[in-house]
Amino acid sequence: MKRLLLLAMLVLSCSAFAANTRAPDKTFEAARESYDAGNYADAVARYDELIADGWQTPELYFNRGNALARLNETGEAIASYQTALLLNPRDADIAANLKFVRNRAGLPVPKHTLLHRTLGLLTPQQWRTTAIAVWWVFAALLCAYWIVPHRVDWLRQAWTLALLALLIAVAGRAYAWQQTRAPLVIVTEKGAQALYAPLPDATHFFDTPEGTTLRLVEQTGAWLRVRSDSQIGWIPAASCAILRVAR
Amino acid sequence: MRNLLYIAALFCATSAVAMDVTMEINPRVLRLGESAMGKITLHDAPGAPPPRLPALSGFTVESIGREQSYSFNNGERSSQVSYNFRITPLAAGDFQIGPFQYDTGSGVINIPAIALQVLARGDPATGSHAQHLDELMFVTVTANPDVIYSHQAFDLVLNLYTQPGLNLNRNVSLSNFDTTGLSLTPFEEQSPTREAINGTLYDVRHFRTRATAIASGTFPLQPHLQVNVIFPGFFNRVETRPQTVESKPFALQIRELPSEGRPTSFSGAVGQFSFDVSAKPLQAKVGDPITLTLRIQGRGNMDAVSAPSFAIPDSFRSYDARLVDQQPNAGLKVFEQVLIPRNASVSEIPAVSFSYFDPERQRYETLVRGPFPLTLSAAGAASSAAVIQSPNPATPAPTKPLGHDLVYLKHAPKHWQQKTTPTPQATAIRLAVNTLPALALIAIFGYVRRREHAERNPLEILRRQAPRSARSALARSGALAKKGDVHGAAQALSDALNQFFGPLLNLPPGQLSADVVCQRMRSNGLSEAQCAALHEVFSVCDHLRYSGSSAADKSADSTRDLERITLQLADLLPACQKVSK
Repeated sequence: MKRLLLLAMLVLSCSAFAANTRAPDKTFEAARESYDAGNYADAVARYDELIADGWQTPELYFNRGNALARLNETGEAIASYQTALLLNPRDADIAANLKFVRNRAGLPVPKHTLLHRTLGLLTPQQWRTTAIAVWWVFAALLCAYWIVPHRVDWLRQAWTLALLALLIAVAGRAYAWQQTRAPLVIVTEKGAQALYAPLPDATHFFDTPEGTTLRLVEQTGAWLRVRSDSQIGWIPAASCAILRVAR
Repeated sequence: MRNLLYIAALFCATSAVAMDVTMEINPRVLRLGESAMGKITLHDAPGAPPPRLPALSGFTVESIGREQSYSFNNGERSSQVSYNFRITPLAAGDFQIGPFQYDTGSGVINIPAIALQVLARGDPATGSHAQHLDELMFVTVTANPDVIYSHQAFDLVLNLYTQPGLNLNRNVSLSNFDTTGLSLTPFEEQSPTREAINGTLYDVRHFRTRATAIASGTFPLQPHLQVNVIFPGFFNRVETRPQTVESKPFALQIRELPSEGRPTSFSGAVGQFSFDVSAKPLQAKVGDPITLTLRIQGRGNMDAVSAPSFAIPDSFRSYDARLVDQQPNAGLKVFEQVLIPRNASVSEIPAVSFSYFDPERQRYETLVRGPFPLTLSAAGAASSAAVIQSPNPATPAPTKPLGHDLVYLKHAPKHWQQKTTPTPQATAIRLAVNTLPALALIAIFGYVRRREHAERNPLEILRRQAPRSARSALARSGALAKKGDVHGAAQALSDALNQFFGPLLNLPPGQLSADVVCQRMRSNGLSEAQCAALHEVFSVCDHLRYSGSSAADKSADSTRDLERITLQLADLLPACQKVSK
C-alpha cells in the first residue's frame, strides 16, 4: 500500500512538472497566432499572463514589445524591448526594434560611450559568473606560481593576464551593480511631465514624452525621482515602468 | 570719426568670405583710475595679420597678449584668434571706441562702435551713501526680446545689481519664482557687467534661462534671490550673512500667435529657420525607395518642430517621416521620409513646405522646396522596358523589402527561465565560492612564506622544532625505562638533551655539557635551583650511559633515577624554552 502511494505521488509530480514546462510553450504559441491574426491586444494579454506566472526570457519581452508597438503603445513597447535587452544585451533584433520604435516616435536614441557599450555587453548574471570564473583561474595560477619551487615565467605571465581579466570582470560587475541600483525608468503615459517636487501642483520642470528613458534616483511613495541627462525631477510612478530584472 | 585698422600683410591664407571680426570691452562703465579689458577676435582667419588699435584720444591702450583656439563641429574646422588689450581712461566723460574697419586685403569688415562711460573718482554718485543693505543691491527681471509670442523661445534674465564694495560669495539661490505656464531651462550665469544708474555705479551679475511660454497672457514675476553677504569679522576672519533680495515686479507679456495668415502647414514652430530638402536617388526604378532628407535648422522652439507634412500622391507608397538627427545646441533637426513610386508614370516628387512664425517680422513664413524631377524606369531591366511594359501601367510593381519595419517575432526559448529570488542556501554557496580562492591564496601564501623562511634559516626551524623533538625522545626514554632497558632509556634521554639544547643554544653535539648549558641558561635568567636540577639531569644521564649496560640494567636505583630525572627534565624544558626566548 505504501509503495502504491509513493508511485502515485511520483506519477502526479511528474505530470505536474510536465504540465508546468509545457504550459508556457502553449501560451507563447497562442500569442504568436493572435499576433499573426492581427489581434495584438490578445497577444499582449497572453504574454502578460506568462510574465505574471514568473517567466522571464528575452524572447517573451521582445514579442510583447512587438505586439505593443503594433498597438502604438510606444512607452510600453520601449519598456518591453529594454527589459529584453537587459536579459540579452547582444541581441541585434531587440536593438533594431527598439531603435525603430524610438525613431517612429521621434525620440532621441541614447548615446553611450565605448566603455559603457563594452561593459553593457554582458548581463549582470553573466558578469558575476565571469568574475567568479576568472577569480578561480587567477587564484589557481597564483597558487601554482607560488608552489612551484622555481618560479616559472609562463606562470607569472598567465597569472598577470588573469589579474587583468579579473580587473575587467570586477569593473563589469561594478557597472552591472550600478545599473541594478539605479534602474531604467520608461515613461508610459502620454503627456507626462517631470516636476520640481513630488506634489501634483508642483512646477513643471521638463517634458518627458511617452517612451522617454530616464534613470531612477529614488522612490518615495507614489513618486519617482528621476534623472534625465543633467536634470533631476519628480514624476508620478503610475506614469512610468521601472525596469527591474530578477538577478 | 572713423579710424582705420592697419593691415600688416597683404597675403591672407584664407578666404575673407568666412572671416568675421568682433570687438568686446568690459566693463563699459568705470571710474577714473580703473582699466577696462578689450578683446578683438578674428573668427576663421588663420594667418590673418594682427589688428592694431590706433591712438585713442583720452585713453592709453596697452596690448596684453593673444589667445588662439580651434574647434571641430560636424566635421567643420573653425578657429578664432583673440587680441587682448587694456584700456585706461585719462579723463572722465562719455566716450565712444570705434567704429573701426578691418581690411583683410580682399574686403573690409566693419566693427561697430562701443560706448564707454568714465566717472570721475571724486564724483559723489560713485560713493555709497546707503544706510541699509537693501539699498546697496537690487534685482531686476528682463526678457529679450521685448515682444514675445506664445511658444517662442526667449531669454529671461535675472540681474543682480550690487554697489562696489559690497562683497557677495558665489552662491545665489532662487525662491518665490512661479513659473506656471513657462518652460525653463536651468539658469546659467553670464559674464558680469557694470552699469551706472542715476550716476551710481553697480556691478551686475546676470542669470539667464531659455524660456518658452506655453500660453499667452500676462505672467507676473517677482522672484527672490538669496545671496550671502561677506562682512569682515574679528581677527581677520570674515562672516557670511544670508540676505534675501526681492526683485522689482515684472509683468511678462506673452502674445497669442495671430490666426490671420496662418498656413495650413504650420505645426507650431516659432523662430527663424532654414529649410533644405534633398531627394536621392532621382533616377530609379519603380519600387525603389527614394529617401527625402528634410533638414530644419534655426533658432527657436526646436522641441515643437516636427517633420513637415505634404500631400503625397497615390502614385507613391510612403512611410512616416522619422527623426534621424537632432542637435539641440546647433538648433538642428533632420528627418527622413521614404517614398516608393508605384508606377513609371510618376515624373516628380511634389514640393515640400515648412511653415513657421517669425516673431521678428511678426508674420508667418512658408519655405517651399521642390518639386523634384524624377526619372523612373519600370522594375526589372530598364533597357527592355519599352518591349515588355505591362499593358496596365497602374499595376503596382513588386517592391523590395526596405527593412523599415519591426523584426518579426522570436521563437519560443529552448529553456524557460523563471524569476527567482536567491535562497539562503544559494547565498551561502555563492559566498563560499567567492571566499574559497581567497582562503586558498592566504593558506598557500602562508605555507610558501614558511617554506622560504625555513630555506633561509635552517637553525631557526630546528630551534622551533626542538621542544617537540625533545618531548618525543623523552617519551621514548620513558617507554624504554618501563621495559627495563635503562641504557637505551639513558641514550634516549641524552638524545632529548641534545635535540633540545643543541639548536636552542646553537651548540654542536660535542660541546654540549652540563656546565656549558647551565652557564648559558643561568645568564638567560634560569634560577639557581633549576640550574642545579639541570646539572643533575646531565650527570645522572651521563652516569647511566657510561656505567656499563648490564650493571645499570640490574640496578633498581638506576631505574628510579632514570624515571625521576625524566620527569625532572620534562618539568625543566618549558622553563628553559621560556628563558631562551
